[in-house]
Amino acid sequence: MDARAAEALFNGSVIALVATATTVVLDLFGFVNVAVPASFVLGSAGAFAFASAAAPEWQWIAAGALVGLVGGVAIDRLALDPLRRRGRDAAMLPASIGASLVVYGLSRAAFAPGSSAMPHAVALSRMASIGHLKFTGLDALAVIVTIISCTLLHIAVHRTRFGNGVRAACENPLAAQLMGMRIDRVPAAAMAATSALASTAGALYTAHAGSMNGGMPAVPLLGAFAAVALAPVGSIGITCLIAFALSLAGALFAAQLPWLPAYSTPCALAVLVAAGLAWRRTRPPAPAAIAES
Amino acid sequence: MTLQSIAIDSLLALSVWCTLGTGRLTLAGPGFMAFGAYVAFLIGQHMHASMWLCIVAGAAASTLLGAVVDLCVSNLSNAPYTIATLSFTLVVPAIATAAHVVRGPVHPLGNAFSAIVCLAAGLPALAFARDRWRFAAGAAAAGLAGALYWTFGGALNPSAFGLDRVGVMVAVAVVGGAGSPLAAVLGAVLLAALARLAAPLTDQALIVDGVALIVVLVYLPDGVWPRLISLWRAVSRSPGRLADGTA
Repeated sequence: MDARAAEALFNGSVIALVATATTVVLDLFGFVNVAVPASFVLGSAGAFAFASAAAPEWQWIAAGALVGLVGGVAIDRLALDPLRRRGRDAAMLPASIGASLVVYGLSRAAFAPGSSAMPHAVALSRMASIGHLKFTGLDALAVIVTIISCTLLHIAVHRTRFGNGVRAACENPLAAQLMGMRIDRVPAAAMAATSALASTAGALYTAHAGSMNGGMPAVPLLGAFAAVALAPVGSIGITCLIAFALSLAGALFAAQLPWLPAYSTPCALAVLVAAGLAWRRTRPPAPAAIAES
Repeated sequence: MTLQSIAIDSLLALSVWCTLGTGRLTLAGPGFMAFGAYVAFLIGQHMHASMWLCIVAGAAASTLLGAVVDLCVSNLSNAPYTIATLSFTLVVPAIATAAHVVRGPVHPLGNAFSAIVCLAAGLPALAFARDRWRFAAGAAAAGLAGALYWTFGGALNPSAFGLDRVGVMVAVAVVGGAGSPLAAVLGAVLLAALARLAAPLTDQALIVDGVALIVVLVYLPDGVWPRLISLWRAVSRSPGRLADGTA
């Protein structure tokens, strides 16, 4: 169970990063950013490229995050910003889909189709232990990176002028401009930050798997959607906690109930997504909302 | 192969077109497509039924599933609706793969004739899809696309029904535009032609589809079909002025 617990924490980190990127965009911009899996692919490609170039292993993850950061700015500038300027908020979702199509196409053009093997992460695969818990360097790195990056994003979004600026720029660009906000830069910075989170997840996943695939696997993405559906929109801490809890619960069920079929995982995640969305639909309005109405 | 892929893309875009009338962008099409393909495969493999019966069964099964899914998602607001329909698309092939539904290779049975027949059967039926049956009608179109995909020997793995399929579906639907089910066919034909034109630059049709989708969203938000229709009306109403060059 020790190694499986570490594995579950690693998977929880990947799910938490993707879920955080999704819920922050949903909170700030009001749409489900389908380009998040594309950012995952960007991070995966960055890590794969650096691994193939025999770069030090820590640089694989940093390169993945950096590629995602730049990709996030490019996606915002080329696909989303023109629509934001025209006030077509409803078109953000299909535009993010268009951006992700371009990323998938570029990724497949740059790398061989299908799964490509990459050098083994020797240093990051070394085992360590704390008490009974045995884990690899990559497991520890994933958890630490997730906690630090999600904490920083939480502070940036909820405790600084930056988060208010993004909301203001999305809801009322003119008022935000009058308040001295750089409405052309603030949303791009938010998209870049969330894209960097998702691409860090992609880089970690690729380094762990030892191969690059042209897309994001369905089960982690379903896990991320379940975390987004179950947590309040924009709540980074609760989203991360649910992501880790889902992953640990999955590992626990797999250990205690080994006769469960393989398809039980996607089924369970789909049920959780449905339950979270149904709960959100039937939840009574908050007192503040009642007072406002 | 182009005609077959145009038929599949058109049917899949029709599943979006059906629900766009209600102001919703459903992303569940590839999930229903996968369901239709797996049902057609299972019936063909275990019951040795004819290709046409498998196609009808795939579409019918997707319609029934669509009616059930519609009951679950119809009251959701926009963002939860997107998450729900996208999760459905992810979960169908994931379950089928984990359950090893597909065993052995899939052999091509269909041809261009079957593609045209399926598209011709789907278009008029969907044109009459109204009100609460829109989602189920869209699921039927996607299921038909999946069964058709199976007849062409397509690989029934998760990547065939993944996020890039969602993207292509939305690109065809948005480029074609609203107003008529024929817009979906127009979108599929336009994107296939653009991919052919861009072939010397890139062999990745996904790049062409993505760029076309973004450009249309920015510069032609209603799609190509309504613009063509308004152009046609302008031409047909004032032929004399156009001939004089004074229009």
